[in-house]
Amino acid sequence: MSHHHGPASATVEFFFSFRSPYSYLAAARAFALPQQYDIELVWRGVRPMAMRGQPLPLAKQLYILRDAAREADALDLPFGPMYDPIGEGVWRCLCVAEYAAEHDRLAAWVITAATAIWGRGVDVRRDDAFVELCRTAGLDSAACLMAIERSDYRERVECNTARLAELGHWGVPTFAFDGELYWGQDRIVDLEHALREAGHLRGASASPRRRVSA
Amino acid sequence: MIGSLRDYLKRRLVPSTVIATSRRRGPARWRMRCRQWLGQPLRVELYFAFDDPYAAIAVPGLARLCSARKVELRLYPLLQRGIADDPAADARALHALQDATRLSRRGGHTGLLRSEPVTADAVAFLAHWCEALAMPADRLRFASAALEALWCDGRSGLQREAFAQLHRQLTGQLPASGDAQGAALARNAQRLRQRGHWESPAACLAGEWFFAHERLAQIAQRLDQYRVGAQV
Repeated sequence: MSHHHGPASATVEFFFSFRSPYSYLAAARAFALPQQYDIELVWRGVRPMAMRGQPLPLAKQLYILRDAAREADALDLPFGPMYDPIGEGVWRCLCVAEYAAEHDRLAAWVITAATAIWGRGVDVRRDDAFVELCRTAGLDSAACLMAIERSDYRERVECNTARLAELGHWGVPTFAFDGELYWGQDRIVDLEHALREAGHLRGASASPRRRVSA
Repeated sequence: MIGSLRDYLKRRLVPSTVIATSRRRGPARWRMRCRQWLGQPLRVELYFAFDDPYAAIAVPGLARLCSARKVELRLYPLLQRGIADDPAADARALHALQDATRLSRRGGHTGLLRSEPVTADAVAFLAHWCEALAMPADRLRFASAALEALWCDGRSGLQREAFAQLHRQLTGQLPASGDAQGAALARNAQRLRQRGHWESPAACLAGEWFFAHERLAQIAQRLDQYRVGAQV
């Protein structure tokens, strides 16, 4: 597993925020990409827009909720009730994501936590709810509670956030592949087109390997 | 205690209620049914800016969709759009070019041929000319053709005379002189914001907003739902 090195030629960087409903809608399909394409998916958990100075007017907040609800229904994913994790809730989830990546449970954690936030209205700042989510994702809950205090995990998140800015982007979910950025859960189809064009579609006989790194 | 309650309202109750109410289509379906009983066509409003490459996908796409369903499409050109003091504005403009090209190709078209963003000032005359056209059909023809020429035709620059010729060909009239439509264009922007949106290309159907360039299929689905409802 690699940590914060520059991407190799067949990597897809996946920029994700736990406060973004569209990131939640993208997560399962994003983590499934390495099964279908011969790529390494590089996890980039980032701070939410509202925690890095991006303005988010009310009209935009309302549109995002309503549009994400439509898209979730189309994808048959639970959406609402929700609990906004901004602040400490976001940090908890991001730090545990870094821990989960080290223990091969990244996809399980991200999907479990994001579904709880956006589909069940779980307040991830509450220890009891948080511990339950960690267990559901197959993680050691005591280790997760320690992970949320680790400064090196927070530094990784800052590096990921800086990486997004360095690429010239601001929003999530964003995928970076071969010098192009794909912003939005509904742009995965364009990313997949590019992956096929670049010859990364796995053959029917290819052996599935774990290909997600942080 | 009060802080906890405020926190709960802000983080859970209000957003969850927004999500839940967004799924209730009954009142909108009833309004659409009433319009049809009164002999009024279903109507989609599209707020768009000529400096927005996504408009080059939204305007013709929505025009095709509405024409096939005999739905009225009203165009509201914009000069002002977006979020004030948005630090990502320049990055958005660059990304929109690349993204709109991919969306265009996904739709079976050639993609955008312009490689640099266009400023609102540089194409403000198009918004004035479009707004000055009283007939909705003329407005739609001109907007579609001008956006095509601006974003998808590699030979077109930003010369007024080329667009004026296009205007004459499509409408049989000379374009409006000067910037006489400033007040009307400001009203369009005000109407967009008052009705709950901020950006181009925004389509409004029965009070529901869609980013038209990326939600054409969803708009079509909603229109079909309303029409089916009206026939029951």
